[in-house]
Amino acid sequence: MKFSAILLFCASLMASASGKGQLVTLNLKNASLEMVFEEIGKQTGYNFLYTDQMLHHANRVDLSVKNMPLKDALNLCFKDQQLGFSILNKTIIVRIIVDSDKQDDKNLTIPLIDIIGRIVNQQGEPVPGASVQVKGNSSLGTSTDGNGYFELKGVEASAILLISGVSIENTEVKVNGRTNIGSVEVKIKVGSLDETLVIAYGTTSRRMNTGSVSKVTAEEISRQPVSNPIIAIAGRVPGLMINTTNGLPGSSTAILIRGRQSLGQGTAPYILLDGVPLMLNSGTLTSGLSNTNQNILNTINPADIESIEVLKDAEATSIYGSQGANGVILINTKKGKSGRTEVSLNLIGGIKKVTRSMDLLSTAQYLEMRREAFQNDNVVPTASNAPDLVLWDQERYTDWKKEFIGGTARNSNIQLSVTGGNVSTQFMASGSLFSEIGLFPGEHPFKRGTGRINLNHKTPNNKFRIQMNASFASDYRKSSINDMTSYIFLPPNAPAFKDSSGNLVWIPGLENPYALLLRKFEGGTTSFVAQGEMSYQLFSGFNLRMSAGYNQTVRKDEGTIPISSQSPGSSRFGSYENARGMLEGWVFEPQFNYKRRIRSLNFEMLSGISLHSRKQDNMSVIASEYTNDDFLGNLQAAGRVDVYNSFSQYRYFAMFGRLKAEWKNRYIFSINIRRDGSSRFGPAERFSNFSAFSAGWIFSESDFVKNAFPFLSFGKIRGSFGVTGNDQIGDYQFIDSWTANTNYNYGVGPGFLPTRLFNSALQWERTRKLQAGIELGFFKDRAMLTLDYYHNRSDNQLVNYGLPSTTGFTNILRNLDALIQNSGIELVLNSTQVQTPKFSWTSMFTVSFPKNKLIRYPGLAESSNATSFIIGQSLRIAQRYQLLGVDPTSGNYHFLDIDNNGILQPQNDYVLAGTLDQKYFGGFDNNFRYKGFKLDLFFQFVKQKGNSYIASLSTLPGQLGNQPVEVLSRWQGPDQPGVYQRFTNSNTATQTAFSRFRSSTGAIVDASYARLKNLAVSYEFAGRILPILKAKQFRIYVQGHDLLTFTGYRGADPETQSVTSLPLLKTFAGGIQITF
Amino acid sequence: MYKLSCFILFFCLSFFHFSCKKFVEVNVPADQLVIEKVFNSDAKAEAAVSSIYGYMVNGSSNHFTKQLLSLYGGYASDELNYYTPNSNVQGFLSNNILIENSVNRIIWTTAYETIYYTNACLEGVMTSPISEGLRKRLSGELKIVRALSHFYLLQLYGPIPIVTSSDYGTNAMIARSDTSLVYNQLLKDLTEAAESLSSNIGLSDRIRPTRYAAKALMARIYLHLGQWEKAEAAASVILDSGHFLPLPPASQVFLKDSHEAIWHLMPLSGYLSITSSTRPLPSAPRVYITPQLRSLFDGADNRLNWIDSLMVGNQRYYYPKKYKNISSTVTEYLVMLRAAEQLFIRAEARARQGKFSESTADLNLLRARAGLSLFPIFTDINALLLTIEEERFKELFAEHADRWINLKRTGKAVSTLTPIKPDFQINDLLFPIPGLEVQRNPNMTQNPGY
Repeated sequence: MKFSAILLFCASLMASASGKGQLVTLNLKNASLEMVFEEIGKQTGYNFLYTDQMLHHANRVDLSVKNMPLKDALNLCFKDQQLGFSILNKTIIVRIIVDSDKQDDKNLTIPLIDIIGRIVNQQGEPVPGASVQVKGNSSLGTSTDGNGYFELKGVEASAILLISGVSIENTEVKVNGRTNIGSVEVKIKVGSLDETLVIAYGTTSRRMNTGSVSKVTAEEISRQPVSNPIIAIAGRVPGLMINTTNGLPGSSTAILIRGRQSLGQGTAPYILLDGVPLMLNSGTLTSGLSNTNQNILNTINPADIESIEVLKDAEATSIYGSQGANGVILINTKKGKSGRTEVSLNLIGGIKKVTRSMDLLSTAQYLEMRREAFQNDNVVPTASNAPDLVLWDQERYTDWKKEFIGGTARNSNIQLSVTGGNVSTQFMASGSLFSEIGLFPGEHPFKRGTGRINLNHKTPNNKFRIQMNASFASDYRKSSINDMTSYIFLPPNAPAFKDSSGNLVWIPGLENPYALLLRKFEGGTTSFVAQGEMSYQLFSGFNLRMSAGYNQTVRKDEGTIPISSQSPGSSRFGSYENARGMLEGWVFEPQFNYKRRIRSLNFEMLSGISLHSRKQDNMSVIASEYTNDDFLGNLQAAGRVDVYNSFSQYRYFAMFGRLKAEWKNRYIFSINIRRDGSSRFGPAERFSNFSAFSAGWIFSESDFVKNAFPFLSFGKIRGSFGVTGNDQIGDYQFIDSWTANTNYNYGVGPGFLPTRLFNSALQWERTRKLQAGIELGFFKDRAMLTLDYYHNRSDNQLVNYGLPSTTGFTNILRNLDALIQNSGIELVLNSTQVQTPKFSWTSMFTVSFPKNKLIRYPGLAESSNATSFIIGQSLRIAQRYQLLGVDPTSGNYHFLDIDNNGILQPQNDYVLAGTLDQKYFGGFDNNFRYKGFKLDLFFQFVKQKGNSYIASLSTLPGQLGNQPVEVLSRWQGPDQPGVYQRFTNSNTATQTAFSRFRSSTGAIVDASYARLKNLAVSYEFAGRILPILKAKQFRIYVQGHDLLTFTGYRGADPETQSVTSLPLLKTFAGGIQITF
Repeated sequence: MYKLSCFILFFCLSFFHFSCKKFVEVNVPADQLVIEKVFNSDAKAEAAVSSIYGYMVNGSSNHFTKQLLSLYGGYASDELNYYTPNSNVQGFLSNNILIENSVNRIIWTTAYETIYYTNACLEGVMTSPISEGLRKRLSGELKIVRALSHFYLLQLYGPIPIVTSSDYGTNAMIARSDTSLVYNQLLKDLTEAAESLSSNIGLSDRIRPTRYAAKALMARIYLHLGQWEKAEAAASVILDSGHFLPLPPASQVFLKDSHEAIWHLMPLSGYLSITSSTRPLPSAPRVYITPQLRSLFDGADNRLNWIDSLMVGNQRYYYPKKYKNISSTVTEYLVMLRAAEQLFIRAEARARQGKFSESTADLNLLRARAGLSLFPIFTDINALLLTIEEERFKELFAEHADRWINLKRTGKAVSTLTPIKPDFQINDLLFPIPGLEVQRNPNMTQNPGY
């Protein structure tokens, strides 16, 4: 323990060392060596490296010198000692002088000694986390601390140390009886084959992994100015698709790994934060309030993340059994580092603007459209049917787009972290404060505060380890209930909605958007996640481990609809809604782990149990019929109060095991098994078994390959096959239950009616995953290529089967022997083009070609999905009417009537318009470094078809409401057919044609895009400024997100494809980071 | 070592396996009841059945009986107009309802939802250990609700599937039945209901369907079937019972203690959805009465109490105001069936049988209530029938599509509506089956012209 304290002390001296001279003045009598070292250290700033044991037999020292060079003074000190020293950089390494005579005496028994040392790279920088093993004795080893120091006890004096690590080449060092090895210089590795990959219930390396695991590092995440960490991995992980639904702060994201595996049930991956399952589907609590989705991922501070691992194939996911079918995302937080206490402060400020929108008609164009519409309809505009033509100012123009979504959102983020500790105990504490002001008119703040603590401890004999993480996050938002984006389509000549004194003016036929801005939503989420893990080494290689986690998310949402926000003619009442929800879950996982090496066979066995419980408890109060806005929020003043509550519980039990064997570091086999039980299924169907088998062969280890292909530094083929399941169907679906609802009260007891059509025989959905992959490293791993082919088949589909309303409901959940196939190719190419101390250029390219196919669907033709799916096609096909363009005579869209019966019907006249799947997608990252400058450019690209914005407009061209300028190329007569059909206000045939156009091939357009997803430039200061600031590291940076979008898609953002919700925002941020 | 590890593994696994089955059992949430517990006591069975009435008048979804039938049925005929119609309203106004029209779908869906609830309750009531008297009453009430829902579906959509069980397998593939079969089923339900319900009712019993509600619907159906004697007899059961006549003043018809009501629904809040939907904006109307209807009213008609107006520019718009209360205190109930309609049914049935003086007498009860001069006894059947039609229009406007249904029944829809709606076609007499229903049920066919 004392050793570590000294190390810590030494380390702290190091920082303040610069600038002091190398002369010493000492006046000491009968001083211990320790005191001498301390005094010298104070004066020179040099560190001493030694163990307590070394000084055990040291003689006391009398010394009186003045301005003597350091080396001479040290020679005096060590004169009468059995010790020697050497100076390396600013470290004085103390060592025991081995008496050659004595050594001979002990020749019969091999002496065991305790050794210390330090690992540095070619630049002399310490290498933390490097593994130091005694060759031939796998149980004796340690790893270096934050400053590169290590300590090993009971080492044979003749042992050889094997030093390895994520970023360094393997190096061997002979101990040669030295107790102080001194600084060992190691070479930095280009590739990263041996970096740690976090997998289910353990870790592995890229080299030895036989599954499909992608990793995104803290460094990559930190370059991106995003508040939701999941957005930061978009495009970087092959096979992972992320779709953001809108540009509002904290908006939800749809995540899909290797395609849609389920016809109707949840397709979200299983997300774990430090092993604790995150509960994603908290949804909205309040009824009637839109725009209020809260996303639990937003409560994670991206700066706290060490890495995100995405597990995809059977080998990686089947150990999660029925939760693994949709893939697994492991979010691992940063852990404390030993060494001098380090304080890091990061300040970021940013602005956001809408990425893309469309040009709308000017007043003159708009009025022309309206007049033409009435002319076409042969209807005379009146004050009733056309106030914009008859009553309103014909010259007035308001740019509603600028008014509602033309603003700028601003945000700022302060992050502080402290880490430190010694060899046995490390800690890390961090906190952040994020705030954003929304872009809609008025104040719409979003604020988030997070705090986190990590503690690690291990006993000196490395047998007992304990680790604890606790994080707390709280966010608050206030916004208008409505997404104001749909109001950019207000007529451009609409009269002012506010009079000169700011009072609202009500215009017949139009909603007052400023009134809607008065309808406020206020909400907050508080989340607490705690996780702990203890392990004890019972005997060599055998570890008992117990991990437990708890999380709690409390939400409070409030919505108010004041009387002042309502048109005076309608209801005159205000209403207020207050909803609270608590989501609480725990997980408990005792496990054991056994590792053993028999000659060239390494094997590892893991077995454990997982218990998981989750409870959701919601309550909401709707107070309505307020007669005065001042009372809003006061329940006693409400005319009517309705209270709702709901409760659900989910429990999960699993047993799992894994056996992995490596032979000659060349052949790898692994088997995973799991037995699962879930409370979501009927009693007879609760338990099920899942398993996977995988194998890998590192063929580059064979002599033949080594000789024949010298440029090939690494080569591995691997494959896996296994079964996983999906239980994302919501709770209690198998119970025939009736739900209470106060709305149904009718004077006799509480009202309740059937909840749903029930099915007591629900079972798991099952996905069989097959994968083959090859990994190649070229030119000492400077270029790394990973190519994966996967072929997943999902059956026993839980279908929320659409029913005709004659059944009383519109759907029922049931298992169907339908089969969905997802197959695809994924490619990742990492390369280091240039790597010199001054300049480096690295690239990463990923691309995925997913293919989704419905293989089997019994009774599809008779089912309610008959027009949604086709056997042999993707699940996301679009079946539509075939648009034949604009009929020159009628001026309306006309469509192909396949059965020629004069009636257009989906069953008979739909054609396959294409699929809305992403054909391919990926990312291209380039990272440049020149001295302190770093530049990172990340492009994301997607090839897909999407919904045309013209078809998603809520009003027809010609009706009351603005339109994109494109509609001007409309039909104006048989000689001017145009692209779009004739304008109309109320013509039924034209309206019918438009409603068919929405479900026609004309509504499907190319929505491919390439996007400069991220741009990051940073400069790290070196040299003189650091001591002035007393800082260890100081960098400034600018970052941009979603800055440029290249696409042929017209109208809105090609990712959200919606004209009525806020497009994605481009972010521009700048910040400074300083570490002390 | 191996033995030890194996032993520990075995120990852990076996220990947990015993408890795991128990572990994955979960509690049913407090806001839900499993089916077995719903009908195991009289009180809960009564509450479950009553929930259907609560759902019809308060349910958060727009139940067809709440206002949709009254308003959209009005738009489709010559009763009501809308100042700034949206596309759904426009579809009904111009009788060009698209198969995607969401209001049309809600009418269909809520009607069948109601039918499902009645069937589920009926199955529960028939098989549960509740008292015999209650079983009889509840089953009668449920059959009336089921018949009422089917009746309106039949009027709006033509031949419709008859749904009498909660089995979704059957109901998902169910085909349409001929109109006569539907009527037979309704008459069977209503006859059984009338037999199992008491004829002794007080004012407060009318919030639930009673024996008289069954009879009222039967009278209506007999009129549709042209069975004049039976229609007269059924209406007479009601009108001669002493519970409903004399008619209260026009201003009290929709109040909660109106004795004219045969069946009305008790809302939770006094401000009914239909009141809120028909109230005008400060400067513009929303729903308003067609000039054709307004012009029928005599200036002295007491029923002008049910109409209000406002000026926009120099034009006056009249809007329906049968329900007036806008406070949360409940003063009015939503009327489902009332005696005035039975008087029209009996007057028409009697006229068709040549009983002109009795028919005129029935009509004059309504004339008297309106404060208008009484008719002399009619001698010409056509004049009498025309008068009944006009009086009925004035009395029952904006009530559950009465005008639309009766124009169709009398075969006058096309001749009446074509002059004011140039696009009107014979196919418009039936609303379209919502598109999804045809897509999802292979045995469902679309109405002609859609």
